[in-house]
Amino acid sequence: MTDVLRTPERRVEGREKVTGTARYAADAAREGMLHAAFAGSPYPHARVLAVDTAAARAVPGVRAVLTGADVRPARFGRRLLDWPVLAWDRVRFIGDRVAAVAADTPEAAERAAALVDVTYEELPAVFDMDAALAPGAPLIHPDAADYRMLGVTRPPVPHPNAQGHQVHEHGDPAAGFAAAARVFEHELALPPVHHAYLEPRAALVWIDGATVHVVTTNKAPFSLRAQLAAVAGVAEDAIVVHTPHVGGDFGGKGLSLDEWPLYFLARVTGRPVRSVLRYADELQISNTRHGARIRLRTGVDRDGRITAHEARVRFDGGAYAAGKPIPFLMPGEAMATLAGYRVPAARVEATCAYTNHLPAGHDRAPGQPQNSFAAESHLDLIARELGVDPLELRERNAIRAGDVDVHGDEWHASEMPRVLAELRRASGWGRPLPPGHGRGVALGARHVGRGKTSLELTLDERGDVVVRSGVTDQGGGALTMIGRVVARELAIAPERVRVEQVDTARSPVDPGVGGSRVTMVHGNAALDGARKLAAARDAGAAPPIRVVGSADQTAHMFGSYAYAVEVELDRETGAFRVVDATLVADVGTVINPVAVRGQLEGGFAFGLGQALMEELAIVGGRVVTASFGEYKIPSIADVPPLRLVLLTDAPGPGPFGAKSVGELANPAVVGAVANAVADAGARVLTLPISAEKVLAALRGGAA
Amino acid sequence: MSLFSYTKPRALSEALRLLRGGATALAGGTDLVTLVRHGVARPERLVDLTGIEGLRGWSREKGKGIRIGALTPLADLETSAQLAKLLPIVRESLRDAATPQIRNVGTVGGNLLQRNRCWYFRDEGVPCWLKGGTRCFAVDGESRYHAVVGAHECWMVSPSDLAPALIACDAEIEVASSLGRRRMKLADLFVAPQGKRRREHALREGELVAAVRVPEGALERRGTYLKAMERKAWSFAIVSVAASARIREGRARDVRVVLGGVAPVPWRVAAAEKQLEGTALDDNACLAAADTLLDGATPLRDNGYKVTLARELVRRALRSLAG
Ligand SMILES: Cc1cc2nc3c(=O)[nH]c(=O)nc-3n(C[C@H](O)[C@H](O)[C@H](O)COP(=O)(O)OP(=O)(O)OC[C@H]3O[C@@H](n4cnc5c(N)ncnc54)[C@H](O)[C@@H]3O)c2cc1C
Ligand code: SF4
Repeated sequence: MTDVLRTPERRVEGREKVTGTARYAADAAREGMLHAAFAGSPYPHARVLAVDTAAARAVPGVRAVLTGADVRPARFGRRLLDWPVLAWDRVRFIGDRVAAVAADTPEAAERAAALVDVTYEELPAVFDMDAALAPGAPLIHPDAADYRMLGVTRPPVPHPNAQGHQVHEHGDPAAGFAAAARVFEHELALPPVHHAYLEPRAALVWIDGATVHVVTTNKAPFSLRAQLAAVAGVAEDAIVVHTPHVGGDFGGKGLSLDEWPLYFLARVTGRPVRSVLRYADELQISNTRHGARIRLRTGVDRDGRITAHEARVRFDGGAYAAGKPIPFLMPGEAMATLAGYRVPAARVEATCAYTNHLPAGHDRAPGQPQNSFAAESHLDLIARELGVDPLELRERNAIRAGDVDVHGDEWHASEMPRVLAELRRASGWGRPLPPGHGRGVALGARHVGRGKTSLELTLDERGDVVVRSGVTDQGGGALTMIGRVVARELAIAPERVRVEQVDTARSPVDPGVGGSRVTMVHGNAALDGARKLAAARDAGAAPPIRVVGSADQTAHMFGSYAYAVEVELDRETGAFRVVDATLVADVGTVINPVAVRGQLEGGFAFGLGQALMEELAIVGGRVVTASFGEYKIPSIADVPPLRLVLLTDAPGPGPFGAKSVGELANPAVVGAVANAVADAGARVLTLPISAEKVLAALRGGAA
Repeated sequence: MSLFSYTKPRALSEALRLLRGGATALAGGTDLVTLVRHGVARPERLVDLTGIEGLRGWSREKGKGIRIGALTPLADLETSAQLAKLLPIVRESLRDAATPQIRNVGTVGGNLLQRNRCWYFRDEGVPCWLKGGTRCFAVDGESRYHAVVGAHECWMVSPSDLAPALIACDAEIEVASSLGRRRMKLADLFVAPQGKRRREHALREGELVAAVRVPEGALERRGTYLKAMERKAWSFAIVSVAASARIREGRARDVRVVLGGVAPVPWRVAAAEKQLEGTALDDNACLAAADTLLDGATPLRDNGYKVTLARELVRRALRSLAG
């Protein structure tokens, strides 16, 4: 039989999706269901003095109107519970919810929500992350000491407006800077951006006896269950969470917004209550990628080799830290300012500030695009100053086995030199360019996912297998991957493995999708289960054979990649086009060939959007780009063909040697594009790289 | 979203009667429906014009130019090979307007009468001047897409791609109401909101646009349309330029230059066109005319770039007519 992994996969959910029969959370409905709508704050920061719901209650069809007083002291979050389900004393951003309505129709609910009469007293708002962290800044969370943190105690912060703070130091930075031939310093900035998944958040909650049921777009159902148990004060096993198909996630769907007020509405009405977020609200109130301002200082020797590095990273966390799952309450890779390079000595300090902007959370490789844009621009500026070819400078500094990275960790293996050599070849680096063209390079590295899970496998009389897993599939192809791993190990056709995604009542605890984890963790659990099935079968056990496959993936390892990008620039208008792009990616063994290509090409388009046009423009706390007309993401016409080179022979810790790809390749696109535009004559230090900024840079102005 | 009643008459007279009674015209709905859904427009009664025979399609009468029914879908104009020969500028202006899906549904009349795209205007929660409030939020807010010239209290820009192109062809419109028909210059349909007039269009209560007419003379002119966008599809113009001229022995006559995206109306300055009469449309003449067009421009905080961009696009458009 031919190797399963060599044939392109068939998505297990593909048929449902292309025929339109796939069901999403917004499609869930129940007898007697009510519809929810919410009233949000028009002010970025204000005290709530009074809430009058009389007019809202009088709207025909309205069944319940709840305010902060009804839910107090319920706050939610993925780690820190700092976001009130409904604000009772204070609102902290425009859109912060103060009341929730359940009514017979969505129209009645919306009409009533608009009639909730709130008396506010405006408070001074703070929008800039540095201003928020300055002494004497208005306090956004005066009661922070009372907040609960799930699972851990909250690490100390240097300022009451800091959500999280981390400092790392290794080597001897002072000596490294003293020994440097040159020292360079640059500051770069990025605005917040949105994931722009197709499906807005939606949820349906009902209470059946003692059991709370939730249908949700949350991609980590067990985490939501734990959070809801904490917020509602019910036992975890009294909650059943079901996540049907998720229409795109990119990290954003780890945070639930509507489920909390829906729970309270379902409790007071005794009816199922559903809501589907309007996309305008996705852009106005849901968790964005953090805006950032990053200052980098790096010393290099005469050959351009890094001797010491210093970084000060500031993130705009917005009004709540609720969207962040990691204990430090920072974007995951907040400290990765020079990912993929040898850094003998470094001091990196990162702080995430509370501001009166909409809350920021996780977005595909959290923290990495910010740091990558800063670092790759910084190194390119250094290369130009030194008169060294930018790719050459990277080759000299690329991390090798035995080197220490920016975190002070030693790499035991590194594919980075090979990635760069391949990039040099595949992109035709050095080939003369037509006038008006520029070429840029950027590299990146991302850890593969870690974590543990279990799933159930049953082998029946015909030799077919059913796998039950609590994992969700947000479009990444998790279920297909699990099926193919089992099929390959048992040497059967993938069609003979059925993978069922089941709710939290019918599956072992699962960490959900995120952190580049699924192929590493769920894939290994599937492999473990398949091996157990094979062993039992070979030992003569009679079908049906049921086993539990488990994995605890702890290996720390990196995937490496690099881009070369070519742009064509119009010097009179500043407009430019990306005309050519090459990506070399070290991905290990490929399980889903189509999905791997899709993740890498999609990651490229994702990064391209951030480079070229994406920006949540916020004025006085209000998002003005509150539709896809204003909030621009690239159309297919904006995305050039991508020359993709996969390195598959350096095995990772996943099944059969797989590595992660979902968040591998989006971060470095921004730097590669910025560097290509700079090569064509315009260095732009803030994203997005608009024609206007390019023209200003061409004419010698600030950009 | 507010509640409304909906009627789809077959006869124009019936539609006009309903409009006279205060109903709102609905064509393809690509603009109006969004405004209603977002709570910005709150019509009580909608009259769907798409069931009316005779308002759809275009025709040419020798010597009388071209007549385009107001309910003609944009895609019909864009894809007609015959029209592309007679009036290539129309196809050029539509090719990058909106998306193929929207052009299939959106109509000529709806395109000309679409509301502006100012993000404060489109946000139900912002009570700006144009919506009856006391101030324009763009003046001291995010103003990158707003007007640089010709604005009074309101700094929105005329968003249509079709309007500058048709104005560069001296287009007129046929306006119908239950009281009768009148003709007007298409350029006069657009008004800069000012004083008591908090609106973008000059139609009177109860009127609709029945057709657009392009005179025979305009068919003899060469025309072109250039549009600067932030992405390659589904993007309103940052700046656009429609230009047309008759070229005789290397000299330009009957020049028209109309800018989109820079002013509350499609922006045209007679002196700039006059200045180009008889020139060879060389760089100097083009840039001088561009300066006249943009004379008195007062950009807001974020949109000074439009002036530079408009100047360059005017030069390119006019140069291409000469070439
Ligand atoms: C995503 C998007 C992108 C777009 N990009 C562009 C672009 O790049 N360039 C561009 O030019 N346009 C663009 N548009 C606008 C689009 O072209 C218009 O929405 C469309 O042409 C409107 O036509 P309609 O028939 O759907 O009008 P409707 O939405 O039905 O009506 C629009 C308005 O016109 C009035 N109206 C309609 N017909 C008549 C009539 N015959 N007489 C009097 N009043 C009438 C209606 O009352 C309403 O106020 C875009 C629109 C969208 C949604
Ligand atoms: S430009 Fe016009 S529509 Fe926009 S905020 Fe100002 S007044 Fe309102």
